Amino acid sequence: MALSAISMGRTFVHPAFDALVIGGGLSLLVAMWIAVDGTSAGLVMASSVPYFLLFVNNAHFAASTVRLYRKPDAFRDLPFLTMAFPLVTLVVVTASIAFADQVGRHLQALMLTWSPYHYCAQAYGLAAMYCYRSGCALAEPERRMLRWTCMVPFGVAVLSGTQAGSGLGWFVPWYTIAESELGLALFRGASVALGALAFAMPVALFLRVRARSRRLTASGEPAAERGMPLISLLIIASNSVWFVVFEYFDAFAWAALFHGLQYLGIVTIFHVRDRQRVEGVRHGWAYHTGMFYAACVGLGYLLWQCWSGAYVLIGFGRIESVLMVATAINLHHFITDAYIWRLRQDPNRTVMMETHPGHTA
Amino acid sequence: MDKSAVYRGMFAIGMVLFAVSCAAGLAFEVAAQRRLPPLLPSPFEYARSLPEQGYMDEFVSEYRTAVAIVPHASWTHLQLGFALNHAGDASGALQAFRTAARLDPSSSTAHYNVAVLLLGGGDHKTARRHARKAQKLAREAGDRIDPYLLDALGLSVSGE
Repeated sequence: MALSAISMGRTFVHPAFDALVIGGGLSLLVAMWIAVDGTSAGLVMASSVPYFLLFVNNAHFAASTVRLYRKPDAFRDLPFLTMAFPLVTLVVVTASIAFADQVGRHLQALMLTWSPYHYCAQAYGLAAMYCYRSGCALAEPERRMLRWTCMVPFGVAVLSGTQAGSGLGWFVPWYTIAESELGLALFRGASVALGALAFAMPVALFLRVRARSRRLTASGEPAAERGMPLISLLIIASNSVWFVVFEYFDAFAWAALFHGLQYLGIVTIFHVRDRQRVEGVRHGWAYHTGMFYAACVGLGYLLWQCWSGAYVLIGFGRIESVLMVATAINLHHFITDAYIWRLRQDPNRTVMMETHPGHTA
Repeated sequence: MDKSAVYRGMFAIGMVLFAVSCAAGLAFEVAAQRRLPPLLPSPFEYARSLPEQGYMDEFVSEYRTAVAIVPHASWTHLQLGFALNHAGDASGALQAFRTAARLDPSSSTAHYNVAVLLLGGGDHKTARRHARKAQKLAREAGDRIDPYLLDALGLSVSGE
């Protein structure tokens, strides 16, 4: 029974920290606060937005770059990404500002469409990581099901972005759907179905993995075959809440904020463990955490608040400069992120599987 | 040429350009606004401040750029409509609001503004149609539209 008992899983810092920050539990608590007392929650949230942006959202975009350059052997293993990609990004952002109506609009639509995919891919990566870390070896069909489960909110965002000109709206203007009764009915039906799937599939997956683990336990299989940890379920569920419960623009704001917090939490843990392994005990975790976070906030400020000013200075309009720089920062983050979290033959794997000082709840 | 040498060269150029861009951007923002760049830079907030500074053409131009970058979204056309109306170009504003209403037929704001501008232009019949649509959409969203417009078009507030 103990093997198949429901468990939070083996966490990195502390069950409460992992559940609130990395699991997205804090976003659910804030959502409940808004539901119970929307006025005071709204006032606090609204007045905190600039600080959340600087200290969480902007810092998280910078974190992937800081992590890339502080990762052991990054220049050797990822020469294009570390050395050539910054210049490529500069050229692309300049071209997209200069040709905002031809190049910029497609980059903007690509960024808005890719964003929810990035959030869902992160949910998948984190959920799978906690499974493996907690001794829940997913079978291939379960791993595929986990991926599809995490991608359902992306499908929701593709549809809900139509009116804003992203997702489906990048290719099919909203009015072509809204003008046809059948089109509108199909669109609404698909949205409702995907919304329901976003909550039903995680539960189905959780029960399926649990049932397999119980079967294995009953047949005397090794103790490592555990059920899916609750924190994995929480990660998937909070991502679904962001995209299904909230309206499109609110979903973006919500996901951007709490995804940023989630990202900063996990990337800092990996960075600190790496540095401690490389440098030994010369500096404690607080030092590495503080230095990494300071670098993220500083670079985030330069990227978001200063960089676009250079384009305005040389004569481009403010709107295209700010929008295209923001687009480039997003795309650079998505691409960088796809490489820095690789696990095979990578120090990341050591951090993921190490036993100390994680906690099991 | 050695590939790694090319990469190293690209890295050096990229880093120098980025550092110069950020330093120049920071200096420009501090000189222009006499303070550090705000934590929440909104290009639209900046655009809205342009008419006060006498830059009406630039004001409209900023919103035209927003439409060029996000052409399929109703909200960018709405913003352009407000900008053109503010700049005194009623026919341009009407066209922008009509595009916004076409892109998002469920936008009460777009239909409302089309009705207001048509009323100003004397086309009461079409204005009435858009006002009714705006009223219906607003009611569905649990909202209501300005009763003065309905009154001016001889429509009842209750929508009967």
